Amino acid sequence: MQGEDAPTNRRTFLTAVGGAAAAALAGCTDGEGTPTGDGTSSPGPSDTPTDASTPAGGPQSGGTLRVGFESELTGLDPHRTESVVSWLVVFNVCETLITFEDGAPASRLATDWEIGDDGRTYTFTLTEDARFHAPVDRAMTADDVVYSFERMNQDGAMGSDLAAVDSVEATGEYEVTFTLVETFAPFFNFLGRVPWVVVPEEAVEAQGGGLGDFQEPVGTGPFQFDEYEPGEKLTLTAFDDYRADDVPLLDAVEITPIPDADSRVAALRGGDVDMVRGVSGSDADTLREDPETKLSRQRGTQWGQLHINCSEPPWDDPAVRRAVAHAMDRSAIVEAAVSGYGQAAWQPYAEESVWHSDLGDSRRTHDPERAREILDDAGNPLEGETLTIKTNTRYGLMETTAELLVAQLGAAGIDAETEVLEWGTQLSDFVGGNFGAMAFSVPFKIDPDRHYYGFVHPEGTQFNYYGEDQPDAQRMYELLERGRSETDQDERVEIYGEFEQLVNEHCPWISVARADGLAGLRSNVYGVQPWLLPYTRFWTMWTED
Amino acid sequence: MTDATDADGATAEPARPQSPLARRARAFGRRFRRNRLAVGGLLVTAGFVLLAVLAPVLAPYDPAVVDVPARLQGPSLAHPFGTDRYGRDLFSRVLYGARIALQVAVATPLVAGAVGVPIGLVAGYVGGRVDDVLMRLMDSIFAFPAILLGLTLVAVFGQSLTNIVVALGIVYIPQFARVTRGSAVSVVEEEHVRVARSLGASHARIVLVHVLPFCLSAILVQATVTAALAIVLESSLSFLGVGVPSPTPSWGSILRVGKGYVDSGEWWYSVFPGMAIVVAVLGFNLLGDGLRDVLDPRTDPNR
Amino acid sequence: MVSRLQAFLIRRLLWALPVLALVSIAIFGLIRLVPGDPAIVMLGADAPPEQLAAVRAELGLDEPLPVQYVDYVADAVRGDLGHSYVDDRAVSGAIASRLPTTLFLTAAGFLVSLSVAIPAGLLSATNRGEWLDGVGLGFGLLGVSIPNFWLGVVLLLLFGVHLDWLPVAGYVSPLDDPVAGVRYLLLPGITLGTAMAAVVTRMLRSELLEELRREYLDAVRMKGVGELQVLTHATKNAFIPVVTVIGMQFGYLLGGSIVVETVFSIPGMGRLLIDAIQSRDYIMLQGVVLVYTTFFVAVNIAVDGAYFYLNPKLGGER
Repeated sequence: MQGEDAPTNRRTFLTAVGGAAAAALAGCTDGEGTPTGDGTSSPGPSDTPTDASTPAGGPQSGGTLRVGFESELTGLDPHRTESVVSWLVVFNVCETLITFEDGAPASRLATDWEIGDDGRTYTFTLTEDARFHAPVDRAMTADDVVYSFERMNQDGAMGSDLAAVDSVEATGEYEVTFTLVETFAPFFNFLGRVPWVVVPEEAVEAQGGGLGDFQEPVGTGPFQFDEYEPGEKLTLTAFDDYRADDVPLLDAVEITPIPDADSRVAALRGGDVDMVRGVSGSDADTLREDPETKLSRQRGTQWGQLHINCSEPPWDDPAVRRAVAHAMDRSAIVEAAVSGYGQAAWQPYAEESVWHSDLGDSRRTHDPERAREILDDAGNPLEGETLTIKTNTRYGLMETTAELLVAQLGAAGIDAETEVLEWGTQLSDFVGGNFGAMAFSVPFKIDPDRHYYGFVHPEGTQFNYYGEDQPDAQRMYELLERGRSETDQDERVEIYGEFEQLVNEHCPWISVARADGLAGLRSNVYGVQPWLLPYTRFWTMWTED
Repeated sequence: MTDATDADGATAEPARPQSPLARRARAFGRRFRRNRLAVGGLLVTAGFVLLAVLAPVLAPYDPAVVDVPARLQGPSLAHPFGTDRYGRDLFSRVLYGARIALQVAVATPLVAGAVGVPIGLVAGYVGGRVDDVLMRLMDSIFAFPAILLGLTLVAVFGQSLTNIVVALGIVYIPQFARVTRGSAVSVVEEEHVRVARSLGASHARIVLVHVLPFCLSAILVQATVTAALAIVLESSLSFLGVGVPSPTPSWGSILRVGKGYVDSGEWWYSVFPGMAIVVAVLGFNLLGDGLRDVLDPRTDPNR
Repeated sequence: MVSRLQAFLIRRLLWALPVLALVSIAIFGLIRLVPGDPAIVMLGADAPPEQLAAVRAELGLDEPLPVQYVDYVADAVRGDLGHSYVDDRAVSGAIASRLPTTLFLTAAGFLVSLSVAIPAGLLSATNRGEWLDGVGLGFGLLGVSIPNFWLGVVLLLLFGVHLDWLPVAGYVSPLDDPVAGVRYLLLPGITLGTAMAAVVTRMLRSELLEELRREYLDAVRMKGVGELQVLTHATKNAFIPVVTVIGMQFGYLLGGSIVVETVFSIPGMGRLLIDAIQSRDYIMLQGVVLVYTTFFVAVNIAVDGAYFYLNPKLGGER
């Protein structure tokens, strides 16, 4: 892990910004992804670093950054909107209590925090310097935090996300205390995500007060909302009273939706926009070769896998799953799907991550002979069977995984075919368990509980249907329960380490690749700090004339 | 219909009693052979059919075999049309794509005709209100841009080759209906039909024996036209991503993927499959134009 | 007193309404049969069931179909085509912002096609049998055999990528910047207009040949009138069925624009339609198809009216 800090060091937010040159080190920061199935499916790089060049002149202030987004903005009420792109805008306008630096919680609106001895009380000390934008124009206090969380949880809107929280209280003018129902290790992950932003009550009421009415968000962030012409562009302007000096550097940000990938790239190369998100692997090389543009890349933002329904024959037979794991040639898939902007993966966490567990030689690598051996030993359960792998054409990683896997299975003597669905249908099938196996990918999540619990544990959504009859099921449930209630990091690392060993052994899913998030920039744009959260942080960026 | 006079002049053939239909068939054969468009069209179409049918034999590679290290290579001796994003040989895939196109070209007119011809016959024979209503209905469907109708139908039915053929068939029903009706209307007034009616023949018999045969030439021309249109429409739908689903190498879906590589220089991905479409469609269009000339007695055969 | 033309138009309008109703019911009903849960697409797979149920209730998916339909029509007549929950915006607004783009594209195609077809048809017919005619015929044949999306991609490859003369993707409204607007519409316009030009050329040529052979023209010639005047006269008459063909081709242009918008990444209604299909956005899909339908029904009526007007001796519909 790069960066000078140990994971528990709580650096101030301001220092993070000041080190613009730190952009070069942004390669491996962890971050949290979005919970929706509709993640940004941008592939990623192999070895070359991100946009690291900092011009001799250093950061300049002023200028407008024009950005092209990969989908339409859909509603801006922070506590209601559901698209990554809208969250991104909100993240620059409103602030969360904490953010993440190098995978660990760092301060944003909360400057310090303490966890009670029982592990269930979290007390946050808030900064006294945060101010709300005009027309509210006052300091943020603990009451605002309480208001925001209560608003978010109206009518149980946040459902199971907030189920862990028993109460939120202002225990001082600048102090807030959360009491959880029971110890819940992933709690910090929620606090860094967009819906958990602080907003002022008077602004919300002025715009109607109901969930979904707050379409011109007012917050404490470095940018304030200026105007939005639906279908056209959204403008953010710098907030002059922001509590950190020289933040933001830009005067304004103009955001235009350009859903078509080819148009985005063309617009960037033509100079109509300064930055675009959602660049595909095949376009990435073009951008790098064009002298007027460059590429910014964040490794491992998407985790691609073969998602399996372990209660659906023949996938309920662990031998079948193990054989498929050996038949798979991950590097071919990475090459074809994301043009090398990604890496073969046996788990969602990269080597640099604290959550990475070293599987060593037990890792199921590409070995068609071993696949056949496993099947023979198990009495040829696939005799006369054709495996079906569901996929869609909307997301390149999923589409390519399925197509190549089918060919690779064929090479290992296993009969297989793809079933191409429309994305909405595939999502429904995913949720409804109407599948045997499907090529799938999810946005990366910082906390392993967020990846694994939902897939396996019977009290979660159990998307893998890993029932009690499956090998070591009870042990895996136990590990997951302990993982979320244990608050000591080192303990958790061991717990999830063992969990990954069992996953490798029994293959409730088969991990395929970590794909990277790519953004394109004009060559005069600097200061991009890509991280694993899908929110672009505009306040660190500047343009050179 | 008119008597096809023998433009060759007198030959030394003894007069043999032949049914009007047989005589017409022979005259048709002669005129066909003399029409350059028709012959050209037949040759190209026959070539297309042959390539499609013989694809498994002619293709140098299995179109499904992937070879990732060989991906996105330009035309070469080993791969005359280059390779695709997974390293599959594009020449083989284009050959196999002809099979899809052939299925579409044959099945669509069959589906459209199976419904359209009866409708046209009924409208032309019965006439009056029935004719009015039926043709209005046909006009309503016909007025729809084919691609819009096709898109909506496929979006609803779901994507599979069968569904697409059915959807395309529905799109082209009105043409068959109109064309059949047009011929039927002119036949209905003729001598032999009235004679049959007065003899008490059933309506069904009259329609099938006396009316339908005289509509056949128009229907045939329409079938070739529809075949051409169907190939274009199916490849358009596949290009848009709403056509024949993924692993099947439809020309349109290959072009769909190929478009993504236009900017990065892999031009072969877009050029060759498209040329295949043009050739196949041209064949049917030439054939259709030629047939129209041959079957329409008013036009000069040497246009 | 209502003129015959007006009476005709009114009759056609009355006929058009049931067509629109039929179309809207068909779309409405068929779309409801489609599998796939819009709530999940909107909120994502991890969304809690309570939220999904809430969204379904809001979308009115629990109501009986006829009720849903009536509500929809009542709103549509007032210009409200519903609210897309996939994109969280008003359908009418989305369509309205894209409509001018599609109209400009269609107009570009129309312009290109007529400026090619009329001279081509005239030249072909008047030089019948010679090489000029051959070129015209060849163009006519090739034009209908080349799928428009392929033509677009090839033009793109040649002029956009290889020669780098024209933009490869995107759109600028001619209202904002005429020069840029034309540059962005040139290749798409040519792509869209070519097939139509081919059809119109063929039609014009054959109609003109037909006309020129007419006996009454010989009579006119014998009176000593110049060939050019004869030609003009013949052209006017030949135009009548051609007007019908042009009108029919508008339907083709509208459909073709969907494909051309995809090839050139032009943000018009066609892209809206495709995106709606792919994201199972029922509501958007309905609205867009309805708008397209309304347009070409309107154009059809206008063309029929024009035909009726130009050829009143027919005394009625064709």
